Amino acid sequence: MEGCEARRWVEIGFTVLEPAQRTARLPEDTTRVPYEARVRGFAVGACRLGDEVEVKTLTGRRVRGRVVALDPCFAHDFGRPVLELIEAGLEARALLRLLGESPSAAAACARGGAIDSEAAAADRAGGEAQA
Amino acid sequence: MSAGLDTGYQAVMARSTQILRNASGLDYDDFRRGRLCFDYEGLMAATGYSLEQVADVQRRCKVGGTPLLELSNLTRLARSLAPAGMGARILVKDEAANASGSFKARRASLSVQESKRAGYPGVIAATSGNYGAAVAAMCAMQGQCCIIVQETFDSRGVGQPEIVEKGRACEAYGAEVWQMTVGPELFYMHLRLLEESGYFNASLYTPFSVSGIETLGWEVAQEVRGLTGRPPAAVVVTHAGGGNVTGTARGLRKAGAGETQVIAASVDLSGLHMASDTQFNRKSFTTGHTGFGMPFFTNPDRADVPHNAARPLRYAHRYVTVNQGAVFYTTQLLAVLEGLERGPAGNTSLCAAFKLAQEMPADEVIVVQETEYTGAGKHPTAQLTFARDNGVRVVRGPATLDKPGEVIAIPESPEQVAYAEIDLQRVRASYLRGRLAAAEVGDYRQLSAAELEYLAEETNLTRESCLALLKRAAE
Repeated sequence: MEGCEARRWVEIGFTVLEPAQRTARLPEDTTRVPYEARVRGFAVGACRLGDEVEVKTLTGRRVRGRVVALDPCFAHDFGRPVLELIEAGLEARALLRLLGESPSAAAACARGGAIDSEAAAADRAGGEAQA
Repeated sequence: MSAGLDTGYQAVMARSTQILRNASGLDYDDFRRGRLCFDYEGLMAATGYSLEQVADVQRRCKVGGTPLLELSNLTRLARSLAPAGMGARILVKDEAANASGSFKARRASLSVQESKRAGYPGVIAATSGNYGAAVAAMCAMQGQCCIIVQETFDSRGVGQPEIVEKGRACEAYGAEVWQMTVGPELFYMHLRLLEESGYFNASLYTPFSVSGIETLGWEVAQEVRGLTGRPPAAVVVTHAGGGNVTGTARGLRKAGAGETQVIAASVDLSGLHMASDTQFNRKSFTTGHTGFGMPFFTNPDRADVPHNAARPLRYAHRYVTVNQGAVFYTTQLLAVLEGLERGPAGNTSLCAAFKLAQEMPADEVIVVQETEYTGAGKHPTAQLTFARDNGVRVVRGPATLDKPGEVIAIPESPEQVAYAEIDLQRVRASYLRGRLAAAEVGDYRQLSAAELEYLAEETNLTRESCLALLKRAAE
């Protein structure tokens, strides 16, 4: 297991309340799990993943817990492409262009439900070719 | 932990009044008037800051004076759906330009300044929203220590990406961040941290926080006046805890724009239980939704202060809801038609405004009073990918197909962007029933004239209308 020198940036976790200690006002699924906390900071002593350790947080306060991550990273991202949104964007741009050319046709499109997204893309390609 | 003090759940909750008093510098009991009434304006004045002084503090904190932008393409699109002569101009206040990227910086600026003035060693806020980053950023520039406590994970350790991003932002501004699993015990954790640290409670619901938003309503009124010669016909406000509605409306009134319609808008998340471990990650909006919006209308005092300074029922003229898919759709339109990548949660009001504009004359102005920064996790594609990975279906279709936690329906056309009107009279009746029960008033006919006056103010009704509603609610 990877070791950890003192002053390494780590994430610790601990149980704040066991299921039986939790408030009574909870939905059934939540009553079955403990209430847990995670905090990040500099490990005060050497430690490995899973060790109980004290960390010094960014405010300089000390908190104890079990190491759940060494060099914890933020892995959130922008996700995968969402075709429904890409299509909606193309449709709206085609609609706006149509508004400039034929307001009544555009209004009918805006009301008439889905615009064919391939046609919208073709419209866009046509517009770019003209430009 | 504080030496000798029992930090068990029951013991800490029993000390909550004392802990909150020590952490706020305000004694709310000074404003209580008998069994039911409360000197609300007295509490608001207790900050000691005038609107001009608040604006001064905010200027020093890189907050306020944000651009008011005309959304001409969205307005054109809205007009194409409206009858001739209809379709109000849609303007947006680009609050993402504030330090930390949202209007929440207005709320945090005064609280952090006050914490420093009163000699607290640091500031704590319990929030999963933009407010955390706002408090952290204000602490960074004012040299205060900062702790943010947020509900982040389900019991599998899976974090809601929008909240993970906000946690990252808090840390980037130098805060100690506590990330918790799902549950209302967030309040208990908040109290424990207040007690052991001795820090100031920068609650979203103090008069400092709400006063900070008044500048936003004031700026909107003045800027629209500069543009058209009169205040806007309507301002749409994304609504969760009520501070945004309250502060904006108070600012509008202070700018002499009391006639401007204040319309609260929330994402409809009805059917999802906010404290459910398994439903936590089946929602794509972590704020601005009905899970906060509705209870804070009917019972504002469910907050982390003894009496909430955010009282939306006093100020909202209307309350509308929109579906998650429509907000993502509007966010996409804002990007591809207006070149503004913002939100998504902050675009709840924009989504409602797109439809509302179609019902207003073309020579009127409707203002969307906020945007927020966007980024990894806090973005439509991040949220919709996460929704799909958690078993939520994403389809094209009208709001009627949208089912929180199960289906997100992205409109097939601009016409499908719609809102649902909440009957505020029913909300008022619910508030009145709760208020009477809390004050142990068995029969509304036992109310004194002063109490009736107070309830009329709380519900933004005349005395006569309030009395009629009390009578109906009792039947």
